[in-house]
Amino acid sequence: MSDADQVEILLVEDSAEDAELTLRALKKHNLANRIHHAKDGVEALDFLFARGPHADQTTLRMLRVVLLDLKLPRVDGIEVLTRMRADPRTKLVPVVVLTSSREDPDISRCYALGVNSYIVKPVAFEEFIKVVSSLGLYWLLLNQPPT
Amino acid sequence: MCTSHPNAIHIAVPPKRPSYAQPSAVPKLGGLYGRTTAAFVLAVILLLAVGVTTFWGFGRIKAAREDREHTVAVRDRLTRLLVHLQDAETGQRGFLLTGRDPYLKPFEAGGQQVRGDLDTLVQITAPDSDISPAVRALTPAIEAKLSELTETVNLRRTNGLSAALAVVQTDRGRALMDSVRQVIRVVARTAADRYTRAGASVGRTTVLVQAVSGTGVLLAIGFLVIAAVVLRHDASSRLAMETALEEASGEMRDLYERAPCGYHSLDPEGVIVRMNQTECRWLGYQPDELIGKKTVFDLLAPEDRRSARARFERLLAGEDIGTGEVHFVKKDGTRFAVLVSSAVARDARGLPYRVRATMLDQTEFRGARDMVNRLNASLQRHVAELEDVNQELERFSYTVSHDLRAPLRAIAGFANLLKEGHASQLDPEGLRLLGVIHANTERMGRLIDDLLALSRLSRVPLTRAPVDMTSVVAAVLADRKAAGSDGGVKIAVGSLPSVEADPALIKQVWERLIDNAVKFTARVKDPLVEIGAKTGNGSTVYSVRDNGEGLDMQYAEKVFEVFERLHPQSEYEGTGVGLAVVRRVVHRHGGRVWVESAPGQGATFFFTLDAKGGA
Repeated sequence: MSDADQVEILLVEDSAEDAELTLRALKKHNLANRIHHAKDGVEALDFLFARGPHADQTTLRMLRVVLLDLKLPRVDGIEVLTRMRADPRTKLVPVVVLTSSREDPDISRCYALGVNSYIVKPVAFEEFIKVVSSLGLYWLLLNQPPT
Repeated sequence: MCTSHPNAIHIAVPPKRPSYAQPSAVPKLGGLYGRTTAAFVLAVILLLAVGVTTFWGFGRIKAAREDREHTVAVRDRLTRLLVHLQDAETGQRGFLLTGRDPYLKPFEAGGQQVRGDLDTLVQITAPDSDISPAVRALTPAIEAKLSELTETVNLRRTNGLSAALAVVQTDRGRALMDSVRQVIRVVARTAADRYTRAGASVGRTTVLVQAVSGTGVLLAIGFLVIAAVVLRHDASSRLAMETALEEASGEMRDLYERAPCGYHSLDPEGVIVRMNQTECRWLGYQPDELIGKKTVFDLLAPEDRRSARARFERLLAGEDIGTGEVHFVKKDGTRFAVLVSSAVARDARGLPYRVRATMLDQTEFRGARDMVNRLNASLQRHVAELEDVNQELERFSYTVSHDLRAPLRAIAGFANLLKEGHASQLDPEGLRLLGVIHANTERMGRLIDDLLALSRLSRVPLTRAPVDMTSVVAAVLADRKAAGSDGGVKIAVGSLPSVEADPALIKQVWERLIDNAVKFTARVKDPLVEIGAKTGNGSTVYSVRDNGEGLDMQYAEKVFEVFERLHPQSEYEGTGVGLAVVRRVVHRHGGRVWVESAPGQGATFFFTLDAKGGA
């Protein structure tokens, strides 16, 4: 990705369907141009810390928000969040956890690790679109980044 | 009695009468004996006093009588003396007048008798300090008189009548006679006084003796009566006490015989002298097969005998051997283990004469202990299983909610994308089918949410706090109004007492009941829901009444079951979980929920939040 420096949203989502729906929702509001989709925790960490396929990448200065699913193959969302918060480069990047369940036993752990938001993905399409769009609008347009 | 004993007790022989179980109604024997003895002693002392007084009184009376006799004798002697003196004087007068000798005879005899009388008087009155001086004073007076008489007689004889008369006419003779009489009167008066005094003394002493003996005898009789009464009472008390003692000993016998532990007593050789029924039953012997015939060692398992005898010897020697475990062999040959603790009874010289032992059946005890252990283990297993199941359930809930929702979201989302992006390529039937997919994904989403809510209800801890029911209901109604889901139903709220409950869960109860009532009044004219409460017997019954569809009472219990629906989905929306949530919350609070209704008559749902409530 030559334009990794320009990425504003990192979507970490293993479900292709959820990813597609999310992207469509963001696209509706013209927010999907600078989005990177990582399919699991390893890809997310590679992207964040410029490793592996992203070794040539230099900076993440434009990154405004990470939308993070918790249930991920290989390295799960909690692990990604933990590593992000432990590293000075990503320590301040806002993270929104997206999960399918409000039953998730990890909710309190996420908050303890410094998550910025915790969103339960609605089943109904309209609501889902609404939630994802509001998220994109909030973090990209309204929220003042910490720099 | 079955707990551990001190190892050696020292008891003097014969053992003291046991002091247990003496009812307080029975008076002490010592008191009775004391009272009886005191009454007897008093009676004896009184009788002794009476005897002494009487003896002393009779002595006094006898002395007074003798005194009286003595004074009588003195007076008698005085009288005779005077008579004899007058005889002498008469003889003298006769001789003076006649000069004839025969008159001299009474004169001389009288003089002699007077002297004799006087001697006697002096003699008998010698000890009388009051009389003897007067009597002694009599002697010279009489001697003077007698010599005057003799002088005149001699003058008559020698000088003739006139010479003698001249002497007589001097009145000397009369004066002498008067002085004699005077002395005699004094003596006689003194004697008379003494006589009177002695008489009075006799009288006084007699009265005293009578009074003392009379009173003493009466009192003695009184005390004897008291003693008799006390003895009688004593006898009946003793009877009562004997009865009580008998009862107590009967009780002790029962306690001894039927105690849940074995008791036996041994002589210093180990021979069984007594054994309670419990132990006999354990061993399977009749008492008369054992008592006096077997030693306790004969009943032990062979391998225990040597050590048991050693312990027995140490016990007799005064050592503290504590509690031991031995194995007995029953008559039928089976064995059983007991815990035994023994005590030694010793006589006054410290020699052991009895060993008493208490036995606890270890097999029964062990059986119970094993049972408890087994139950505990199984309980722990069940708890662990329950914990496993609970964890499983939680994992399951998470999986259900996560993994079922994801594909559902995809179905809903892509159906929607299809509709949005490709509507033009679909005919109306195709669009309708898409609508069906859409509606069902939504319904399944709600179903999953409700199911999870229901399972969460059972797992979250209940936190009770005071809940203002009026404001909870008001909040629920306000939510419904804001969301436009109150269906335009008129809702009347009565007074609702506050309650101790979990606020979040109680809110769900009201939400579900109100939603339910609103839902089933959707098709009636003038829909009305009434919310109220009634308090009685310290318990409050809350109610939600509607004038809707109503239900057949034979399904009244079914409405609270999960997924049980009384109406087709097409008529009334719903997942079939709402009332199940209500029931679970109410049950977790220890309350009750029920419905009263008839088809077409509306329905009233009641609930209480404590165990006391309910119809």
